Amino acid sequence: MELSSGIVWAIMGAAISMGLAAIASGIGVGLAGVAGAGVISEDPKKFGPVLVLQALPQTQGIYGFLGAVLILIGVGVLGGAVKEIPAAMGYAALGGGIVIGLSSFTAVAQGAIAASGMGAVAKRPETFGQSVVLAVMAETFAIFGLLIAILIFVGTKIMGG
Amino acid sequence: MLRPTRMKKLQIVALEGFRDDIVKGLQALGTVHLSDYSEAINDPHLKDLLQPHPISPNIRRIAAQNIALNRLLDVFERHDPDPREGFIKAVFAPMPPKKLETEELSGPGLLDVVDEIIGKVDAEVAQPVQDLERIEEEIAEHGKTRGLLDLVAALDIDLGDVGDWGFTSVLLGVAPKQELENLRERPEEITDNAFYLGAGETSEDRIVTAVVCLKEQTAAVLAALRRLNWERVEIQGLQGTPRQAIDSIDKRLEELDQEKRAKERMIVDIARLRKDELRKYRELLMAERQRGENHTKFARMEHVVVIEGWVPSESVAQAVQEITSITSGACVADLTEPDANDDVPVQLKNPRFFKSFELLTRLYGLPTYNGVDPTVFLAPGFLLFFSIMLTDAMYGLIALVLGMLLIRGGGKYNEMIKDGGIILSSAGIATIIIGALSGGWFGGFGLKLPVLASLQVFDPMVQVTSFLLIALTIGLVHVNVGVVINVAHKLKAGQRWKAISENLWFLFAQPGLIFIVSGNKSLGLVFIVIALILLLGGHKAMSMFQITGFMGDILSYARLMALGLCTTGIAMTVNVLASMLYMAGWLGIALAVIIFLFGHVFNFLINAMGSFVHGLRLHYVEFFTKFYQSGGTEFAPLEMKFDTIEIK
Repeated sequence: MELSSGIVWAIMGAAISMGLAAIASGIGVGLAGVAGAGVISEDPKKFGPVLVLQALPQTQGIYGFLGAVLILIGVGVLGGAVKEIPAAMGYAALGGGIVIGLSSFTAVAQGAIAASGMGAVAKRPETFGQSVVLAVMAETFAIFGLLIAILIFVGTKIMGG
Repeated sequence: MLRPTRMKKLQIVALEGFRDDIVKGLQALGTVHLSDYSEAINDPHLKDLLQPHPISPNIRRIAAQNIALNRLLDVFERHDPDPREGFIKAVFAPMPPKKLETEELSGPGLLDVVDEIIGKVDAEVAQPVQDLERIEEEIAEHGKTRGLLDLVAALDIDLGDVGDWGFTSVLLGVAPKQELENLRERPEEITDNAFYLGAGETSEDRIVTAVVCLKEQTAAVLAALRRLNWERVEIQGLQGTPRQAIDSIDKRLEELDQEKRAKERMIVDIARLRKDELRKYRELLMAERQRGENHTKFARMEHVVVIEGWVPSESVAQAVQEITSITSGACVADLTEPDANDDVPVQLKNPRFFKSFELLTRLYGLPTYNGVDPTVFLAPGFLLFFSIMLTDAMYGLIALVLGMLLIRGGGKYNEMIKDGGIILSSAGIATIIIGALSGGWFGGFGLKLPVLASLQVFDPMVQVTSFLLIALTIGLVHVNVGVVINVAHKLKAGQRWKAISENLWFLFAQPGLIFIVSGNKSLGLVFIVIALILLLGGHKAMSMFQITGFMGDILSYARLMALGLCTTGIAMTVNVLASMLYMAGWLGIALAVIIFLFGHVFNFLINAMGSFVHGLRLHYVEFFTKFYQSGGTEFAPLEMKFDTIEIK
């Protein structure tokens, strides 16, 4: 089967969306995990709150995954016949993938906040709620990244077209 | 509702002799939050009259008894640990907590009884514990010797011969096998053949050796041997061959093990008999300590004690009646309204359903006494946001079932689990409704059923732009509600300038914009000018940031749509992957079922957590900042609160 260049650009968009998000989320979860191991070495009972805090920077990875899947479904690579799409539409998909991939790097900051939050929870368990909210603040921009990507996909008929 | 329980300041002046009875009476009532009156002695009018009240003399004795009880309970816990429930069982199907009935006991009477019981249990348990320690020490000692004997077991010599004799020394040691020749030759050279080495194999590359040399040459021989990595094994006071010694040690270890078990059984028997009793007294002591420690919050003058506290308005009559009856009227119980400088404790008061959502308000921080209790606003907002972000009826059903399990499981004995269950199940119901309307049944899986498909009025994956508009409109309404609450609250509190200067401008700016867009420019401009005056008057140079701040707040609600699409998108992906596998034969079908189940469980977990934290965030960051002031002190009355005992 001959692939059109539009499809190839779109697939690159999906690859960047997932790839960058995976790196960023991995770093974020890693930062939080290192701090978490320190906390549970002192008090294994804190595993629950520590785990929740560590899970927070994972969401950006999921946004990356979602972006990639939306592109793949939109151009028919997943769950249907591969569509003939114009190169311009492929560029749009690439743009969407890039915005998700780059905005995922908020996960690094979120991991750092979650790590400090674990320190706070280790000293004063009642600060757990506040620590989660502090960490969630960093995710806002990843959500906006996802939002812009979705708007790109809708506007260029990759989604819902 | 809307504001914390109204409190009255209660000041009691009574004869010192009634002090303990009053404190006990207040503790039984459980409605008075004692405040620290000891600082009143710094008041210039009162400082000549009042003195600080000393801490109860019983406190030290209680602390010592508490340590003794904990020590005994630790011993019991070590030998007869309480059955522990796993996390899942503790949350969903816990055992009912054990309740111990007990007589009421307090004051010196209680302390004497506790001393007596500690003495008795100590006497019962001390001997077996001491014996056990001795047995364990002996076992460790034999274990060590047994380890050394294992090293030399391959030698066929009498251990009674090992050691220093009149002219000779007999030494045992282990060495690498390849050094055997050297081990024989080197010492022979330095001792002029006055040396014997016997060897046995212990493993593939190690040997065990018995060395005989002249006593005067021992040091030189040892030095030579050590250079060849020979390590000495020092065993003393044993007879017979190593094998025989091992057999007799094993026999002794068996005896010791039986003795140990017998002693442990003894301790377990005592534990079963005494544990509950000790726990009961520990809790009674805790209540006694709480009473005693509060003495430092009081003030006194000669024979009179002054106690100050906060009582919810509806409990005032009962509290005053109790104190009057305890003192037969020989006291002053003065009630006053709180003044502006008072740090009045905060007790949230909401109808039953909303009461559970106080958990989420507390997570942020209690409101101040004169502030707004946001719980009634938080509950519907949270449910709406959670359901829009989870947007799948089947996930809602899972949340509902989990919530019900929490309520009927751990919720029976734990208020916090019950509250969590109520929040989760009501969020589940809301999600079922929103999910059905948006056609989310494990993604689009359930839409194959025409009944479910007919419920759908909205397709989030297709009507993406409308979804975004709905999310932003919800945000606009929510932020407006926050602003209205602020204006109303400030007006009610008599802070008119704050009411109009803080964020009222936002309420004028919106109709202004609407009028301008709809063509009524002059009316629109009037509103806009009023909004600008309010904005500039209230915020001056920072006005610009107010506008961008509000815009950012409303845009932030776009997450409702983005996260809603995220749940739908991942659910759809799971379905696509599963359906692709489904086409690939029986193994594919099996894999498809696994992918489907795991995928949706994963999506539920990750997005339920996301919906929860982002639902809270929209309240804490975007909504609360419009009107809410946290920082209240929790109302913590002096009360009889026991984990396991019930006073008869």
